[in-house]
Amino acid sequence: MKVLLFLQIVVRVLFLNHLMSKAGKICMIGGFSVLLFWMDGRNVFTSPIYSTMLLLVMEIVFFIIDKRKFHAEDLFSCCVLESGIAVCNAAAIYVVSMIIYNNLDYKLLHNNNLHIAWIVSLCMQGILLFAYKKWNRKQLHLPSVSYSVYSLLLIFLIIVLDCFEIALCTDEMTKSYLGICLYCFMIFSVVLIYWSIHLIQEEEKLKEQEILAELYKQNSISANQLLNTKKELLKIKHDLKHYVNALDDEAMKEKYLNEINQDLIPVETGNTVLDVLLNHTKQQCKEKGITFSFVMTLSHTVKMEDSDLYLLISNLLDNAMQHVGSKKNIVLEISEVGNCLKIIERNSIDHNVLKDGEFIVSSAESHGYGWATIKQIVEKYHGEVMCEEIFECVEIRMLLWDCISS
Amino acid sequence: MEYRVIIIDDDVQDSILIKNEIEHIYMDGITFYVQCVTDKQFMNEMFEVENPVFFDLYVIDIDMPYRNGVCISNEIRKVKPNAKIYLSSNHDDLILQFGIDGFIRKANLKHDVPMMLYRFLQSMKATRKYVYAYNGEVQSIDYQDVMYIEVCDNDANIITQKNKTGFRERKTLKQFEKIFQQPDFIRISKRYIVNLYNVDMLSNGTFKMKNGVSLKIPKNNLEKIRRAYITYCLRR
Repeated sequence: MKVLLFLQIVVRVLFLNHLMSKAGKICMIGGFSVLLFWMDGRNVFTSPIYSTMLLLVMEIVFFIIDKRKFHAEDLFSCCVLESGIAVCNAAAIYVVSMIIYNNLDYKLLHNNNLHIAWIVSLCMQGILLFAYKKWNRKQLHLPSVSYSVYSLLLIFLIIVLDCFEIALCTDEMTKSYLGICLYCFMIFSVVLIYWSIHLIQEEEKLKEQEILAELYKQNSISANQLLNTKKELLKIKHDLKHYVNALDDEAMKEKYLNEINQDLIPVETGNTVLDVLLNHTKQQCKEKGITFSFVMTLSHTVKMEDSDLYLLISNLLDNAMQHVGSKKNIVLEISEVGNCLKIIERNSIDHNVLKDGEFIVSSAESHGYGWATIKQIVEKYHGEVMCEEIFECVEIRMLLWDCISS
Repeated sequence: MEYRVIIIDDDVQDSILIKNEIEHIYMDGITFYVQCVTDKQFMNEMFEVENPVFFDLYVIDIDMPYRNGVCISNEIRKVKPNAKIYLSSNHDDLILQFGIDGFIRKANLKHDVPMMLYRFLQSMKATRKYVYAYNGEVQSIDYQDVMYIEVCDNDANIITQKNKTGFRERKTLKQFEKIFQQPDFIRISKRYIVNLYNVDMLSNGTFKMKNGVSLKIPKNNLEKIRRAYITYCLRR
């Protein structure tokens, strides 16, 4: 049995190598070492419950001693690993019991042929490890909160499953295990309901975004036509200037030239989304007396989805216009770094708008919502966003991965 | 610390305005020596391909009669690829098909010049020199010129922009890690320390360096290094 137990630990360590950070690995290997001395063949089947608990305790100890950040990702990885092992164990028991006894006789199997179930379980864990290694190329990236909630859900699920397993196979303390199982199931259900509500809200937000993107698609055609008309008008105006210049009356000449120059020169970037947005923003800024500048240094085309680019830039500029302050200055810079798109937006401010590198969310304005959308899009393109306040300005810098066509 | 700044503008009044703005800003321990020239003076007297006069920061007007700003920037980049170039203009918008370090609006110098100097100084943090002994002589290389450092038997090779075979030094990569530190330098594998400043792009798990060399990143390190690279690019 000790050999089988050792093999199980080897499988786990192999998993850990891919799943966890250095600190997480130390925690889990420490936990396994304790388990190795503590467990015998019988309760090793319910080991996920112990190792998850051990990891939790060790994370808390690290957290208290080191005052370091709680490793939500490590905890999640551990829970995924443990629930995988729990599922393998359960499946092994079912398969072996059905082959030997022709029905699910847990007690008999546990007392007589547990080592066979063990070997089957180890094989399944091996397959799981192989499948994971294949899947490993696509690494999972979740927000920190999601990691914590999913870890919590998995922990309670493992406890429920293991307690139920123990209650089924032993007569001792059946009631206490069933009690624990019931309590954990209740907590699991509450967390699940709470998280489901949260996910539904997120889904609603996403739908709203999709509607906005759809609206953009509809509007972009007409906006583009408007832009083309403006360009035509500009050409006519350019010719008109020559005629006005030919006038003898200087006062009249100045009057007409001023009138002609009142309209804005449309921005042409080569990207329809940017053209529509920038021209609209320029017009808005002009009406509000804001100085708006745009710098684009791109040698390749942008590879982003139009709706994402629209939502990203429009939210950035909307936020900027909301917080532009008395100096009324907005600068938008778009450039490329290798195959990444770099966007910098800078606007003047009158008071602090950042706290710990995040925007202070105000319920009166929809700033928080716009900021959430920006972060969501940046996350979608595996990028990063950061903000800082410098020289009475707030600067948002973001890098979007693989958004430039090579 | 002293930095040499050149303002290239056909309009002398504009040059003086930018110069005054730069000199007006006080930074402890930092001095800017500003020189103003016209496009013609710069191209004919200072910019000889054989022996060009180098500056730390170039502020170039876009619209100039003899040679425009874009043209001059390209010429400078040919002989000094890492030159810090800022374009200045009376226009509010700028659309170019090549990279520059920044743009200042003549109508908004009070806002744009401090920002330009701030960004310039941020980027100049990496310009230190690494001193080493070679053939009994003490030599030095700019940190920025280092492409990457690779393990070579018991030594390490420092590959630079000019020297593709590298300078061999009897040091371990661990010792080099202490000298060439993050955020500019990152150890990507057991064999290489890479200068992120000289990375052209990161694609398919490979760093493509500005000298054309591709360096493979191990799969288990890829996400960590990708994040570090993104953060570096954002702060640059």
